[in-house]
Amino acid sequence: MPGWLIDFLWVVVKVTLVIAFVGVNFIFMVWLERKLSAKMQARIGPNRVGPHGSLQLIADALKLFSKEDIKPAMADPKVWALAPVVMFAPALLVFYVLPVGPNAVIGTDLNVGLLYLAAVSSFTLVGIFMAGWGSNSKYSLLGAMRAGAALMAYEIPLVLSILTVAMLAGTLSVQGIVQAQVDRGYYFVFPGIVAFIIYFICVMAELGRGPFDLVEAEHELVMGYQTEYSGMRWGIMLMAEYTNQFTAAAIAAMLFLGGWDGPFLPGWLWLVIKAYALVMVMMWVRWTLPRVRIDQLLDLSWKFLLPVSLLNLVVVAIFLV
Amino acid sequence: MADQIERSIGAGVQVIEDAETMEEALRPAHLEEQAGERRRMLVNFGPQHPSTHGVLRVLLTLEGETVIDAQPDIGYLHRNWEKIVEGWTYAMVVPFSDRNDYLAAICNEQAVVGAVERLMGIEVPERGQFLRVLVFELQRLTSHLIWFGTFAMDMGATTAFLHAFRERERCYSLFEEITGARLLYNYLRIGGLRNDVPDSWLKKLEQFLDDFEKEAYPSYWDLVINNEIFRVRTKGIGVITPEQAIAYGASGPVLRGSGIRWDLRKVDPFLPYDQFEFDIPVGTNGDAYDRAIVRMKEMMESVKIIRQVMKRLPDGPVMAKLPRALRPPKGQVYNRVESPRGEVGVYLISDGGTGPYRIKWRSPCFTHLMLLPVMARGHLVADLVTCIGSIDIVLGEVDR
Amino acid sequence: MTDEERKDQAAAGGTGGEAAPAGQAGAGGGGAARGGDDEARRAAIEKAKALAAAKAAAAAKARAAAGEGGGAAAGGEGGGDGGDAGPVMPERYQQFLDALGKEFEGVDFAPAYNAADGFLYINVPRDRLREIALYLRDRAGLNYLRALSGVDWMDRLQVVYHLTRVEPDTRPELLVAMQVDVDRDQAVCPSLVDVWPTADFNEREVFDLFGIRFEGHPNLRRILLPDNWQGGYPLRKDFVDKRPKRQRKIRPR
Repeated sequence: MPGWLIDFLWVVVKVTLVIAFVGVNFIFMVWLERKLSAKMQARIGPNRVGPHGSLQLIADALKLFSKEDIKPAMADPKVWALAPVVMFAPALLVFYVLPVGPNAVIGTDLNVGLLYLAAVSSFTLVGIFMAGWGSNSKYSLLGAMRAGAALMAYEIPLVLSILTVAMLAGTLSVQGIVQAQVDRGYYFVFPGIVAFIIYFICVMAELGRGPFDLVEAEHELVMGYQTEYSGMRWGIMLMAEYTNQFTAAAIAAMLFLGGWDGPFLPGWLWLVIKAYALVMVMMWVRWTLPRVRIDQLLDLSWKFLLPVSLLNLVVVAIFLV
Repeated sequence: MADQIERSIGAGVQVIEDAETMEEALRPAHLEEQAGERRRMLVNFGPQHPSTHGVLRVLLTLEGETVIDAQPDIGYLHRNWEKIVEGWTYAMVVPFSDRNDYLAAICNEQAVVGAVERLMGIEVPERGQFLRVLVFELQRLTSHLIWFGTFAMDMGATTAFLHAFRERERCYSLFEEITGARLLYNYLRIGGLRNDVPDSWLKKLEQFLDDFEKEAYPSYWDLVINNEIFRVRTKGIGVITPEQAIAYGASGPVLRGSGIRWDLRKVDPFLPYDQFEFDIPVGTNGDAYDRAIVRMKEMMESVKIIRQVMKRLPDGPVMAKLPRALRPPKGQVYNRVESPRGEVGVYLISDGGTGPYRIKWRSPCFTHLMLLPVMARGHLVADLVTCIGSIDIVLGEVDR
Repeated sequence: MTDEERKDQAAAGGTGGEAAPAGQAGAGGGGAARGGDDEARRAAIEKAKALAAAKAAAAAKARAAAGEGGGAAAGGEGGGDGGDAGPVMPERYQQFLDALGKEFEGVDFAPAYNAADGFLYINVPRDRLREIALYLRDRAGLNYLRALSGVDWMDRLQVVYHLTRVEPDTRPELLVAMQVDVDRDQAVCPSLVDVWPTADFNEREVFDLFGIRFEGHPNLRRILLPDNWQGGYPLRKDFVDKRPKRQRKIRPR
């Protein structure tokens, strides 16, 4: 077989695996969220479709597919239609640099992997703006503006906390960071505990989760930028959101908790376990705390997280020197 | 005749004609003028909305995110209760009054039943009175539980809502045992109660109170009230000064949150509350946080009262001896009770018949809605939801 | 006041002076108003109006002849002439009435102390309503408007204001209710929104359901009935529901 054909087939296999994983992850995570929240609220959660309700999401997906595709009479049909795609693409792109073993990276190990991650994950913001603008609705635009302001505010402390890890490891490549943790024998969560906490808070705000879900909360005049989407279009936005949660948790696992490192089990399984542990913490926080207001959200970022992350960066730099 | 009056409008009277079209109803002209400049928006909040407990519509004049004006528009649940009961006997009026404030049904019944009893000079036997106090306070507890759940849910803490309803389910079972219904009881009768309560029920009630006091109530404080986000969301929001509270006719926790210790159970008793020891919690600043604290503490005071009642419950009948057909003498009476929402008043005019000539329902939430523009001005849209929640509004009572 | 009027008042046990004769006539008509059909109702109202007009004229003549001011005398009469009925008015109410009578000479308050709820019901003439309201709020200290109701006596409408004084930890000493008579056909009443802001929504409700127009109200619009309601004033006794009746039978398939 010619070399290029083998490479091509290999790419096809990897892409299929990633998409399959994303699908299964979506089903599993939604089920996990519903069951976890039910347990915390003295309820049972889905328990009819499949054993312990595990196939509930398949039923929901079928329902979403069967819904009427309502196209609002609006400003820009192409922008409106493309917005869910633009929101979903970055979630998939992150998988490119995920290391799943000591010598295995799903795509290639870019030596500016961290920069790539930061750039790609902020692309979701463009998708949100497209959704808000293309809907040609006062409420959607307001919701998109709010989301935009919040997301932009949390980008900076996020990047700064990631930079701290890069400084500790001495490299921007994601595989290199994980390797550095393995070589040194300690995970970066210990020296970089402040960075870890800041990263966690920022990523919850970026995802619109937890106490920061005001952009899609009910008290907003309607659903914010998601108002004009129904059926599977909205399903894709939901899938994007949940996949982003997983990838954000996976990045945290790699940068701070050692990624694929661990005894007995294969590397990718460790990555998945650590990522899901963080995902469960995010869900736990979401169902416990009330929601912050938009001005409090922005205050938290600009007046607290930004100075603290800068200070953290300086302290780590001094410590290293 | 109505049109003639309409057309004889003098220059000084500003009456806005009935809305001819849906357009006019949605965007009244006088509010559009107020919105005026391009930076301001006139936005409809409701009537279908998960955060406005019931069908309430608020017309917001927004400047960006800031609320310039918030005009409530009610009447979506108006059933003209006062007219319907004009043809009925008093026994029929009592269960119908449950439907006004459907979350505190016993309080409504007490208002109506107490009015007739005052007119006729009926003396309810002591056991009946004590039991009335007991179910009244139990109703206050359940009503505050639902306020707590929905208020926390408005803030985003959905779990609190389900936890509050877990307690409420137990209360539903308790009520179902003695009255036969879970939410709308028709338990109070003119002259007493429908039936007595067995001792086994009192034991179950005590068990519930113990569980509530030890586990559920402290968890509400820890998880919600003492949560930093909750405090930041409610402190300084929706401030009502004491002068405003009195001028606008506030009552109940809204009045007490502003620091005025006025509780009809102490100053204008309608049941034998002077035989029980309890405090009246008041706030200091008149903001949403103080009103929340007042209601939380009132929950505990209710538990105290119920325990005292159970300890000192005398034996005897629960219903006075009355003629079959109740005909109060001609006259009028204004009976007032302290419901969980404030002062519920019944102004009853009797003409000697078997039913009311005119019965007027004084609703506390109706009065508190007038405070909404005062509370919400200058705040953000998210705070509007906090303000509405801190009034503990029930639209059934507002619209009747 | 004649003996007849006095007996009427004692028997009624607490309604305002002028209301008693009309109330009795209204009771007979009231039964018809509630149970009967529309024509009977309207006939009853006309009859009541005529009766009341006649009685009022007679009472006014009698009063003018007797030359009394109303006020304290009627209160004393309500206190028990003939030894039956007549609730006893507490001392503080008597003082309040004396002060009120002194301030507003020539106004017949026709006060009646209602033992059932502890309120003193006084009849306030419409043209002096605002001054008396301001006096009650500022000088008598009644800072809290508890309830504002509209009542349809058959010959006239009436607005009733229940007032009290709210002071922390204090039992209210003075419970006063103002009754303001309003004409059926020219239903106008001064607005008290600037005296007690509570009156805002309450007056809108009375306007909506009774048709009483409040002069000076800043925002007199419909509040409870639908925005496009054209059917009249529901809480009036002569209200006829002209909406089409809905089909209530379930037709078998």
